[in-house]
Amino acid sequence: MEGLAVISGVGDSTYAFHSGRTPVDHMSEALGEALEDAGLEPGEIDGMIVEGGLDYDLVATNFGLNVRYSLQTWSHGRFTGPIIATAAAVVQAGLANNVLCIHARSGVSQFGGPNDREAFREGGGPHGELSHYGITAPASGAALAWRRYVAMYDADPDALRHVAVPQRGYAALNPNAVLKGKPLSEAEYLKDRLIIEPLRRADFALPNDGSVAIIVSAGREVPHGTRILGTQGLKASRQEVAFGNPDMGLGYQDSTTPVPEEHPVFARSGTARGKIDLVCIYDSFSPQVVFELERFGYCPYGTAWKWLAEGRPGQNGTLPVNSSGGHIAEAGLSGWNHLVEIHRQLHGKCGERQVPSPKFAQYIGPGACSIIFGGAN
Amino acid sequence: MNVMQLDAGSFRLPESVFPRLTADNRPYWDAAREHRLVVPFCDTCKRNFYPIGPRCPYCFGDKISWKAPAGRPTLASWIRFHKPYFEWLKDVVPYVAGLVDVCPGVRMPVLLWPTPEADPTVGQELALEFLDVTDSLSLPVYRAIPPKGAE
Repeated sequence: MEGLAVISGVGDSTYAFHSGRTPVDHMSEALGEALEDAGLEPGEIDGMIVEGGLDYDLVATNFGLNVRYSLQTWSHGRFTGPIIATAAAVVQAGLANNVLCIHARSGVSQFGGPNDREAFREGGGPHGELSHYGITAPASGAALAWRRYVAMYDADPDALRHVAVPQRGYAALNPNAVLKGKPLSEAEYLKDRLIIEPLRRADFALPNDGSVAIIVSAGREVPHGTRILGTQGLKASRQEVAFGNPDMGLGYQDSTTPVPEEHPVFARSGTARGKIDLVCIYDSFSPQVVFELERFGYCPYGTAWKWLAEGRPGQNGTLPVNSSGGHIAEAGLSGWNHLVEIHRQLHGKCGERQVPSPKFAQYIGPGACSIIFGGAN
Repeated sequence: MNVMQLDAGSFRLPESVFPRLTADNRPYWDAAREHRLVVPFCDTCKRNFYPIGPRCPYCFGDKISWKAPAGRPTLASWIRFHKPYFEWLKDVVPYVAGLVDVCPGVRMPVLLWPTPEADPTVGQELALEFLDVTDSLSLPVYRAIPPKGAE
């Protein structure tokens, strides 16, 4: 399988809490790294897709870029997968040859809390925030979904420790992780502070500052590139909720009986579930890992919490999941750091947390958006 | 009309987070002020739906009326806020919010008030109440009724 396009370079800024740096400064660091990784000069960037934050024209102006294709989305990480898939389509269509995909965030003030104006949008916030009821944070959706799941399947209410503990284990070995050198034990998880019950602090994405830049390029023979083999889009309907699966009786869903879905990303990429060596799942909140493993058929509905409890996703498990530590332990970066991890894992650059010789890796974002990547041919 | 005054206690909503009134949702809030809950009803396919909007999501019909939901509300899920995300919630935590199956087609996230002393149960019945915030704003809230057999 040749693929649609390649990721020719990635860069990430130094992730930190309260960094005191501006988002554009973080962007400059990430962009510099990505250009070096790709072996490109700024003048060779001719397309750009910006997620949230700084306006696209200011990104170009600040960094002296001169692009002939621009696009911008809101800041939510559900658009991260679609951005990479769109960049691949853009280079295929000949609209640009090297598309800079970039995101930066000031984590502490972005979502939830007094600086969060999300809930005041027409129709309320995108995660079901309703400030007049004190339902003020995106995590409330994930917490409602997890409580519902536990009741539906008689699951262990504390099973999320089997997401948080292995991811903290990976992050402990990741020099880029905000929580490097800070593994978490099961006992520590169970004593961790409840934020929005049933979720604990350790179940939340980290509210750090940072930026990631990813360059998607035309040409399928870039030796240091990561091939974008196949994609599928972000679904939207009454059946989709931000932090749960369809058919759970959440949000506006009309059904409470899960039905297995088709996932064309496997056939489009010329792979299959059994060929995937690493899965990176969008984990703003730990329950999403449980839900996506089921949605994508890695576990039957109602069973992923048991699969996780058997130690399958960790360093000595059968299928590595979120090997960077993910949003909850490496950095809260809206899916972007998962894509950086996939690129580095496929090129064997991940040191102590390196997955042995991975060939194919899958990114899973909200709304069934997914991309399957392959390393060098 | 339910004239019982529900004690708002520490739940003192600042004006900055009052629900935003629109031409579409005004009938909902007007009814709430009279301590009545009404939800959108499609006159074409005869179904309740939610969220509030100008068209029925099931048949795209544009003849919409407002009806009191039939049947008993039940609890689809619930959460307890320990962290006060806003200053005005500092004296309210810990408080409980629920996802409520109001009637077929209508599920809403709402405050459970007064804050239940025991953990609610997914699937349990709830009782509709209204919390008077000002003379012109009343919030529909739900009271968790202890499950049958419990004290």
